[in-house]
Amino acid sequence: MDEHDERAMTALFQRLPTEPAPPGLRDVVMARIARERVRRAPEAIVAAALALPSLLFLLWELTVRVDLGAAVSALFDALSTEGQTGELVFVVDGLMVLALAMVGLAGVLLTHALLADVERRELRPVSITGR
Amino acid sequence: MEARLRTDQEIVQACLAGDSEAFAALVERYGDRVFNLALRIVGDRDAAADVAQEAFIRAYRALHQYDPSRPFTPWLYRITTNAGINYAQRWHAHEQPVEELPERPTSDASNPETIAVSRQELGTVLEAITALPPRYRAALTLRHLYELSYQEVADALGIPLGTVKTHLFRARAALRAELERRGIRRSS
Repeated sequence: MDEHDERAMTALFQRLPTEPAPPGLRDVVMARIARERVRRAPEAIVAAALALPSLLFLLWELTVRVDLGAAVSALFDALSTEGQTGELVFVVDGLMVLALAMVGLAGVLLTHALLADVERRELRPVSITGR
Repeated sequence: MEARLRTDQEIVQACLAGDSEAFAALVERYGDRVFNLALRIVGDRDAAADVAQEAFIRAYRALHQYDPSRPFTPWLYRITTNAGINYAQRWHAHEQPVEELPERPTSDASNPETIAVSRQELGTVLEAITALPPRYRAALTLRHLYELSYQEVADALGIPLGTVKTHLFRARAALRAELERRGIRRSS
């Protein structure tokens, strides 16, 4: 019973006319793929160029140059003693500030790339049927 | 190697290895099928062209998620179906939800009868299909136009096998009811 019902429905669907895909489909799809690759690459390269040396420098600073334990204890010492007089002085290496700024810039670029990607995904497709 | 002679899996591997141009062979190979599936789901030629385009772009972006040990077409149909249903839901939000459709048509549709339609009536059949919810249209098209197995339809729609059977039963019943409403009768 169900089988017959299925066969009847299949026979009906097989009789329905099918249409060829629009002639420009292949070219439009490939053009969009090519555009995506071109757009995405430079942003990622610039972000990586900014972030990687800076991150390596920060890592080197923290592991080789800076004694993190001593720095933290000095900070607490300063807080406990200097807090009474209201004077607390920090000295930060200029290169470290630059490295942090570059990591931040890379983060902004990467965020932009990701947001632009979402935007591209929501864009209306290119018309290929001559509307 | 000539693209036409390569398997789907070989083409996917080539794309993943950086040869994005190889994807053109898949668009050529499945363009018509993807377009017709989209056409059945959205019921409009222009919209179907947009959906087909979107489906191929989504497939390209998700190639790394494709399991090459499984056939390529159900995976591609799944992406097309999702794109089509999303499109239909966005542009036809007023459509009747699946749950509100009758489980059976108003008359008894379980009789072993055939649907006799003339060539002229095929247009009416297409209209009746378009009147169904997108998910039903997708299930019917995959099963009865592309003749996928129940399991393949389940894979393509991303729902359990049991749900597919229920969907198809209800979809057939709803289509028969719609056809009868439009004056197309079944014949023994």
